[in-house]
Amino acid sequence: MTMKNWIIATVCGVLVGILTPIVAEASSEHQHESPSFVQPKKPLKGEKSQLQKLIDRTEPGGTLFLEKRVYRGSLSITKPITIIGMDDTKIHSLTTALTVSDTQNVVLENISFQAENTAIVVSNVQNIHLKNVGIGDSMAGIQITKSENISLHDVDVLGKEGHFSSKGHAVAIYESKKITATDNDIEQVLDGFYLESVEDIHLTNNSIKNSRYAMHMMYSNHIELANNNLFNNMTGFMVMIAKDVQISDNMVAKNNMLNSLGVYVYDVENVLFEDNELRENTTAMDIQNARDITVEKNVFLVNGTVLHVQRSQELFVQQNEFHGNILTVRTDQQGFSLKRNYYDDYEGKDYNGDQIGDTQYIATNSFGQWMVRKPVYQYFMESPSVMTLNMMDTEVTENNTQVVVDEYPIILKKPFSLEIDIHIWQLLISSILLISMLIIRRRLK
Amino acid sequence: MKLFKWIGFTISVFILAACSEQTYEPREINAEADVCYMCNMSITHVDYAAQIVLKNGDHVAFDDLGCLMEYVLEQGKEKIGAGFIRDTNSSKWLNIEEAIYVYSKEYWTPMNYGVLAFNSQEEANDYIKAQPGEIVPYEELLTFNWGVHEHE
Repeated sequence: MTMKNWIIATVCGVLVGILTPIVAEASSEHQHESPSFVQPKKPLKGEKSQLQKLIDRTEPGGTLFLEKRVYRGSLSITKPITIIGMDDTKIHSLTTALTVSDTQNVVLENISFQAENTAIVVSNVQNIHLKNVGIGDSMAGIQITKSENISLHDVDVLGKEGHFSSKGHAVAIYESKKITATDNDIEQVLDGFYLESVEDIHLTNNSIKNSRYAMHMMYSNHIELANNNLFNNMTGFMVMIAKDVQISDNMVAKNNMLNSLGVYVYDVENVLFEDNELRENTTAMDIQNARDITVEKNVFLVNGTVLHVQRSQELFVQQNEFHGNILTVRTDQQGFSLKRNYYDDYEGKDYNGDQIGDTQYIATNSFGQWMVRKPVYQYFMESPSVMTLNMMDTEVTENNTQVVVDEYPIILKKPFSLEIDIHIWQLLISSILLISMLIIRRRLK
Repeated sequence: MKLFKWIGFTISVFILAACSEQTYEPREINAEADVCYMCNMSITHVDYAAQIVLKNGDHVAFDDLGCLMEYVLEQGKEKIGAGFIRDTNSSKWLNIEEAIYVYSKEYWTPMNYGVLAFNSQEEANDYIKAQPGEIVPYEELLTFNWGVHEHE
């Protein structure tokens, strides 16, 4: 081989070396790798996946930056680590994509998961934070057991097509403490959040659609559910056997399929439900076996039945607004307290002008009681015979202590206030311009 | 004469049918539509489902044995024809009065009451060998403190 050939061969070799895409290497030096477009080899059975090797090589407490590509395999984390992906970093698995166990301080950011089973399984972990994580086309999303200080921010879970009874939960948490979930977007799953035996829960600014129960809690205490949007689920909030619950500023709408409820509380204690809007639900609130529960300052719009109450004498419903609902209350003989609410179907007068009706508002009626016993009777609502029965009710409920009435119905809505902000500078400049134009026009004439 | 024989035979068949004890059969649970009568949860975990057949033929479905027992305690036994619970091993329906029950707070059930049903004492014993629990007679279930594991 001549010298010339040697030089050409060497140059070609160098060029090939440079142009060959770089295979992901461990990068625990806190910097991004250059993107690669080569599909990695599928690991053989028993062989560690490429990403698992990268995780193993990262020192405890270190940060691993992933490339913009698809990693395959079932991964395991058992040490403190931060894993940050790029916009299109994906992890696909034929079983569970990621298992995190017996460790602390784990952060996952900017990664999408797809798995045949539950995408992420966490157990016995202190401090785990998931941020900007996507889960799609998986049997279930995230399952967390016996962990503490869990934060989920901007996690998107999209379940498979089909009926919810064949799917898993988006986020299921068992026997854990301190859960914070904000700005998560969940769709088409069994339950958006399923929490069992969990303490100290804060679920805020989440959006959950087309699922069985948007937020389902059992055997849990110290719960805050605020500013969530729950649309078109079988039930919005399902809170069962819980204590110290605050539900505020949420929108619960269009839960109107078979057996649908906006909010269902069962065997609960010390509950404050305020400033929520419930619209277009088959039943807005179903309350059973509740103790010390206050429902106030909510707006109930266009629901079938607003309140279905059983065995909940310690329920106080006050300062709410009821608009366009078919039936206000269905209850058992125990009843509950109804006070100072606005009802659009109240026909009383306010002659003394104190904004409180001069006659009581009768919230229950005989037909409502029958519907409690036989829900199928709801198909006769608003029929002529039922209307006549309702009218007769108003004549015979004067001394009937078993009827739920509001003695102080609000007759007028809140005073209408028009707020006008005047921007002085804009007004001044536009006035000068207008006057100038008029002067110029006059001069031109 | 032949006609009389036939009439006699038909009448005796009707009399026998009228005298026979009424039987109650469980129905299939529909995971997409059925909800528990007591707690209102949809019955998606059909292997833990229970049901009561009333004497009038109506079926009442439950997602957990605990909910069924609450119903029995609340409504009384007068109107109940039969009760059924799923066998943990085979998922077949068992009569609630004939099943063998095992309890542990570690057993998961939809309402977390932790009571499972088995077809025989042997199967129940085998189960608690693998996953520790205790055998609970049916009569005790009627006084069992169903709830947040208050029965511990």
